[in-house]
Amino acid sequence: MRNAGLILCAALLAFPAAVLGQEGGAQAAIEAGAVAWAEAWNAGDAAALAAMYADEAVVMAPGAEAMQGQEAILGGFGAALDMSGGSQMAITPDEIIPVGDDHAIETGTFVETGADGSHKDHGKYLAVWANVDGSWKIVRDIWNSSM
Amino acid sequence: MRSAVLVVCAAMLAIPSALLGQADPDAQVAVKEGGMAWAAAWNAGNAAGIAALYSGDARLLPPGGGEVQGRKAIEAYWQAQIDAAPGVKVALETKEVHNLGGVAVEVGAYMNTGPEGEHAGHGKYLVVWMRKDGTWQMTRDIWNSSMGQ
Repeated sequence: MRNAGLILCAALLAFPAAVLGQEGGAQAAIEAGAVAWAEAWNAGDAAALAAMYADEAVVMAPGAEAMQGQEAILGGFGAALDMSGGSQMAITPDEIIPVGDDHAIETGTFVETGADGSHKDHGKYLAVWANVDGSWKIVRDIWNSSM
Repeated sequence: MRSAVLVVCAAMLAIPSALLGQADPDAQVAVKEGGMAWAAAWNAGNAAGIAALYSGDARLLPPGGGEVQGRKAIEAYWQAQIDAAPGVKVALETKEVHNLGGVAVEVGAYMNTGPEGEHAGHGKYLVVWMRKDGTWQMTRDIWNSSMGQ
């Protein structure tokens, strides 16, 4: 009886885990997200950047007050891209900590290279991700320059 | 039989859920008190008091330099900052605390005031707190200035 209960428990516990695909899910989604973020920046595509954020997301960029919401974030990245002179961004996640089924905390580093190939900036970031209706979105994002 | 299994399962599930502290009302209070303790320690020039709020394996991601790992290195970092800013007082304001279950995300604002009461900087921060050994500890800390460059 006790063994049968444990087996049933194990089966019940295994089922949602398998359906959610939690273990690989957050990690793979966030690693792909870092690549997609850099590609969107490098293409000068503010709409694609903004689409990576949840509706109520907060972006905390250096040198400015925090921006909240996709519309503000779209405007902020649009302005930043206009000023960037076609710079190219490389993003490298260095840690992804899953928290429960629906959140993860990512840290990493970025290198920004000018259109002429010069080193423009490098620094580090922290992004909080949430699983919103099955798709991983950034809900809080902050970074700074290490220079 | 089926009911008994469900009761056993519920009991098994309740234990890890309690350990994760998903409904922990103390996170809000602990994080806000932690912020106040941080500012009080800075204002007393007490780098060890600041460092004591971080976990042993904490990572600090400060502007203007590389990351700082571990409580000992974090204490040295804050000691250098205190030494470089004589008479500067810090005020911290916790704006959000999200308890994700044993891990809490805090977003806040800082304000620095110089020895003559002048504005000496302001910005925003994000701290990841983790509940370890029954206390909430700072494990990741990143911030930046909101002032125009």
